[in-house]
Amino acid sequence: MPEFAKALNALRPQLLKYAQMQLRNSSWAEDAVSETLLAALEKPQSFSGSSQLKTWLIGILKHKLIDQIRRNCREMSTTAEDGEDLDEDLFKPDGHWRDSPKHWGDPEHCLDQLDFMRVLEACVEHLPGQQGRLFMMREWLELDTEEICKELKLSPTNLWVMLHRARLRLRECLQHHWFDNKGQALPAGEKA
Amino acid sequence: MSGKFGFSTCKEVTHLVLQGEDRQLGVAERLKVRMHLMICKACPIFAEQVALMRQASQRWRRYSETADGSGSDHTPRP
Repeated sequence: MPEFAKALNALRPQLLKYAQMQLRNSSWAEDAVSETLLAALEKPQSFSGSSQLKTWLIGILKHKLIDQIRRNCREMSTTAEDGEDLDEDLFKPDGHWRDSPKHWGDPEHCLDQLDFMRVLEACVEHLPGQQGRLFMMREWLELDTEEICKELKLSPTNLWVMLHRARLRLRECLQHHWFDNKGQALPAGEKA
Repeated sequence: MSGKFGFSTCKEVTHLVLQGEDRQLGVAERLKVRMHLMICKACPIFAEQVALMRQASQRWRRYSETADGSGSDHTPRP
C-alpha cells in the first residue's frame, strides 16, 4: 500500500512536533512517532477512513506518548527555569497587581484565527521543560491531575504550582505576541 | 484589592482562579473568589483571560488534529 505509506510519511514531521512538545526530548519523541507509524502500518484496517488520517494518527500518538512518559518518568525533572516564579513580577508585596491585566476582547475574534493558534502553539513550545510537559499532559493529552501526579510521582501541590506558573507564562506570552503585537512571530529560542 | 474587611488579595485570588482550572474549588474558596471579583476591577479581567485560554486550548487540540497542519478546517466533525 505505497499510497498509505506515503501519506503516513508526509504526516511524520507534524507528529514529531507534538511528540517533542509533549516529551521535550528528541530521542523519546522519535521513538513515540516511530511506534505510532509502525502501529498504523501494522493495523491499517483499524483506520476507518471516516475521520482524517491525521486525527487517527494523533489518537495513536497520544497513547504512545503516555507510554514514553511512563518509561522515562524518572528523567522528567524540573530545570532552574521551571522554578522561576512570575508572582513577584505581577504583584506588589501587598498582593496588589503592579499593572492591571488588559482586556483581551471577544474570544471569538482570536479563536477563529489560525494565526492565533500558531502563536498559542509557539508559546506552549517555549514553556520551560517540565512546565511544558505538565501543561501538555493536562491540556493536550487531557489527563486529569490525579493521573498526572501518579505518572510523574508528583504531589498535587507541586503539580498545581507548576501548572500555575505555566498558565501565567502562557498568558504573558499571548499578551506580548498576540494581543500587544498581533501575529508577531516568536523568535526561535526566546522564552515564553 | 487588599486584605481589608476579610477580602482576599489579588494575588491570592489569581491563585484560586488558576487552581479552578485543575481542581474543583471548595465552597469557601469559591465565595472568596466571587466576593473579590465584585470589588476588584483588575481580577475580573484576569478571570476572563483564563477563560479565553481554556477555550483556546480546546480549539488548539482540534487544530492539532486537522489534516494538513496549516489548520484548515474543512472536514466535517463528528
